[in-house]
Amino acid sequence: MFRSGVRSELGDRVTVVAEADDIADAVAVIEQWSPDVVLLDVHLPSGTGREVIEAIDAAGVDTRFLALSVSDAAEDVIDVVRAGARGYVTKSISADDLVNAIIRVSEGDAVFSPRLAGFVLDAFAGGPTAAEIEDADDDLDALTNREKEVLRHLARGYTYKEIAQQLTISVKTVETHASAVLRKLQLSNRHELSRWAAARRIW
Amino acid sequence: MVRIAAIVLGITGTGAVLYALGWLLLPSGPTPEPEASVAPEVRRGVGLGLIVLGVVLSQNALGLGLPPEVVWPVVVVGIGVGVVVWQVKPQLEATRSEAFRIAAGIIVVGAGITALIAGNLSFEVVRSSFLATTLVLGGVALIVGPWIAVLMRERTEERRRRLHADARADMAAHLHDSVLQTFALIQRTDDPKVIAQLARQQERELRRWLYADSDDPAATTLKNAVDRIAGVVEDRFDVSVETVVVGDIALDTSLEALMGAMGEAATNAAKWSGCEQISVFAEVEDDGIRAFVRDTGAGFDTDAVAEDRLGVRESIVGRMERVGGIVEIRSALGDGTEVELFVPLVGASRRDTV
Repeated sequence: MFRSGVRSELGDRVTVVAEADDIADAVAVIEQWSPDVVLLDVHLPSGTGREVIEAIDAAGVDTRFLALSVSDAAEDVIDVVRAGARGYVTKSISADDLVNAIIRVSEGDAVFSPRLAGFVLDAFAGGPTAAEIEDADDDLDALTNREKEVLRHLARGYTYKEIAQQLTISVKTVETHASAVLRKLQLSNRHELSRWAAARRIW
Repeated sequence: MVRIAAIVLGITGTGAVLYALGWLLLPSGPTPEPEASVAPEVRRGVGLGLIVLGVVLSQNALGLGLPPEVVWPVVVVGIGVGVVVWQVKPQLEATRSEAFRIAAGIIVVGAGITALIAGNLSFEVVRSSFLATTLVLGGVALIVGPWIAVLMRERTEERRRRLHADARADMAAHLHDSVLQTFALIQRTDDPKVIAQLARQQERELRRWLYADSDDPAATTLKNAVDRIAGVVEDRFDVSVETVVVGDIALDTSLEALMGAMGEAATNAAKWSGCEQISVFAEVEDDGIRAFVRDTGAGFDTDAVAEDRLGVRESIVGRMERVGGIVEIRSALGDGTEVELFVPLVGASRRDTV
């Protein structure tokens, strides 16, 4: 039901090559079509979005994932992003924003819904700031002040373009910051991050 | 005299073994987790018993001189003390059955001491009586033990099933009172606005139920308050309010003021911006709470706002100033509006901000 809704909303700026409603089907059609972007629900009838990403990684198919979900459970969202999704949007996103998000992901950029930006700020809150970390290996464990600033604007509902105007930087620079945050979120082994994800359910 | 002592000791010995056996085989409390607690303790208990027995026998065999009349009562006293200490240590708040068990342990200790003082009984009598009771009870345990184990497992399984059924019944009741009722209402409604409102209301309520962060969904924390305000605005004005809260904290007077001002700002946005979506962001910072209410709608010329526009002057600016807060309103015609609110944190209200 939801998929047909999305499909009709996407219109002609995006071509939908295939749909699937469980993990095995999803993996099969992704392998068959190797699409630019896979719109992936965090929860599938037979498991989680993470399993699809892992299976596709193992199969070596070159594609990019954008997660979407009605679930606002922080650990589910963080989990699928850490598995490799390039972004997360909620199902209440407008059709236009969704198309833009898909295009952004296809170009290799990161997509943060306000909600995801909030989760990430929460996950890295209370940790050291990047300036305090001297060991280069640990720089995955903290966000720079600029990155935090970008995330806060995203959480306040700003688009990349609006953030660029606000901070008087280029849109490209905003994209770079967003991608850096995504990378840190995916690669950081900061133990608080996983503990946080396991212990905390936010909405 | 000897016979009385022997009988006392016989009973005591039986009691001790019976007690130890019961303790080994029965669940150790009103709500045990058998897999977790009994198995290792049983093994430890048996091991300890064997060691004591070994020590006693070897010192006997080597003829290290301690007369058996001393050794055996000491062993009995030791077992009694061990049992008492063992019972008390893990959970100090003893339930009634536990208290009973501890009392039984103390009686065993007392009896052992009595026997020790009574003293002049022959080792032969003590040993044979102890051995006999041990053998009998060991036999009984072999026969009955597995049966009791099965019973216990069934009881645990039964309890697990009941918990599961209860949880399911709770959920069914909740879904009936909420989701099913809403579906019924939606089917009887033609007005798309009402349908959207019902759906939003229900979604919010269901989310709160599913993902509630705190045990008490009515707790007066920042998160809950922001959520509640967003709900009120959504219901009144047919807009959607996206909320993001980073960190959480208990509400105090100045935070209540912040929430009031935030609600007013969101109401203004819903009323005047013409925007369908409003963003609310609040964050617990090191020295205060900062909140933003933003729309991308009509906007207005901040310089041209008449002094008498009560909404902004009194409900937002006045409210915030009274608690030492700061308000900043950024807006331009055609370019949306953002209201930034900040209240400093006063020491005691600080809570975990994770």
